[in-house]
Amino acid sequence: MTGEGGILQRLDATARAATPSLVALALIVLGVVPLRLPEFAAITPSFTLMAVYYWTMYRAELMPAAAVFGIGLFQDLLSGGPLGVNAFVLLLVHGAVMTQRRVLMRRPFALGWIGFAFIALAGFALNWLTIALLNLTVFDPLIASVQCAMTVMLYPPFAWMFVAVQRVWVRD
Amino acid sequence: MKDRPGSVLRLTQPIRLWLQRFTFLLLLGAAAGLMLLGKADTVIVERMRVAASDAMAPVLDALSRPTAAVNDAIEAARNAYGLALENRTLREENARLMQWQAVARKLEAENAALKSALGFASETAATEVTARVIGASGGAYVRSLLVAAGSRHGVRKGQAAVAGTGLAGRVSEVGDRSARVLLITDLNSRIPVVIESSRDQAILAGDNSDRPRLDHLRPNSRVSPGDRVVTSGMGGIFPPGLPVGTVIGADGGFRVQPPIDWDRLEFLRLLDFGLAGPVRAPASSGDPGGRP
Repeated sequence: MTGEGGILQRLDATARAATPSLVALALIVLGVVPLRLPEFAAITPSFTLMAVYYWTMYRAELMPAAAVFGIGLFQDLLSGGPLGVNAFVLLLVHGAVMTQRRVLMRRPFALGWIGFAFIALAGFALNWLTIALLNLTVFDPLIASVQCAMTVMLYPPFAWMFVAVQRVWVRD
Repeated sequence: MKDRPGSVLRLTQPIRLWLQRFTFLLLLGAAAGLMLLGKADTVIVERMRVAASDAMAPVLDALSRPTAAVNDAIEAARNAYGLALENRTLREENARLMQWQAVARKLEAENAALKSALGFASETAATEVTARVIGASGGAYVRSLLVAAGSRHGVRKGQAAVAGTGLAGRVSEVGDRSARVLLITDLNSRIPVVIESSRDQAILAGDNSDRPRLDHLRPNSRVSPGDRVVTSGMGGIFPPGLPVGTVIGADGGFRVQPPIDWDRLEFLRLLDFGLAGPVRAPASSGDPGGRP
């Protein structure tokens, strides 16, 4: 321990470690801002799915299960949707990626994208099913399908942004 | 991150892995528990939601302003095109409305005279708060909005939210400086309404589409497309007579087309009629039917 320097160093390390979670929380807030574009609200992509997938895959130590839970819960609270659903689905996504990351991590980006497509499909299906069970209603799967497609298509630019955040700020 | 040398927390690999799995399962269980808690609709869940939206309200308010400005600009550019045609239509409409105004004035005076002759106790006048829409629930499963007004501005749970001339929804959660409005299109929205001309009662049931269904109409009711639908005031949540929309026919049943552009809502008027709401405290001691 080296007194003041040590404390500053620790603060710095904490801030860096919290960055992925803060990026995810900021994306949730941005996702709620009304853009007033016709039909856009219904097809907003899931930013949290992208963030949780990316950070769990490439920097798992910065995206522990507790952070995933917090991100999902915050999304549930702010979006006004049924409580716990996003936390549940994102945790399962996190768990699934944890088992596959050793296989996919060092592969080309395209493979990671294909992996994301499968995970997103499973995540959206699970989300749809959970909400249908909670409401005892069958929802039109069309909107969820469009959202899923949007999420998969927009993954590369967001992954690029996450890489930039990681290079500039998280480093290590 | 490195562990401090000699720390008791330095765990061997298997224990660490076990601990990770245990935490994961614990959190998964907590998420499932929250789903049940949310389903039970407890006060604690509402408090959590309100705390989150209150905390984010200033950020959302700031962020929603530039998008509103950009959208207004786009709208203005679109309107400039075909302005002459719109002008002519509006002139004609204005002339027609002037006639209606004269009729309304006459009826108003007549109504007032008849009410005073009858000694009719009029309803309390509404006070209103105009609130900016700062958040939309993205996603396929919920239709609600966040507005930048809360209990400090006089917003209360159960108030009617009106956009333009139509009922948009009901205040479902109130924080200090933000509130959530459950739209009439949401799956969980049920509003007692009445067909204006035939006085047939029905329930306006949202199903996450832009046009809510008319449920529980009597089989022999005289409803036809084009009829105006207003709130009935049953249940004591809304006052009677708030316009809701017009009836349209749809696959066997009837739906209501509200006069609202759901994608462009920028402000909502939250009306307070001083109604007690659906759940009243028992009025006096020994009231056998105190609970509704």
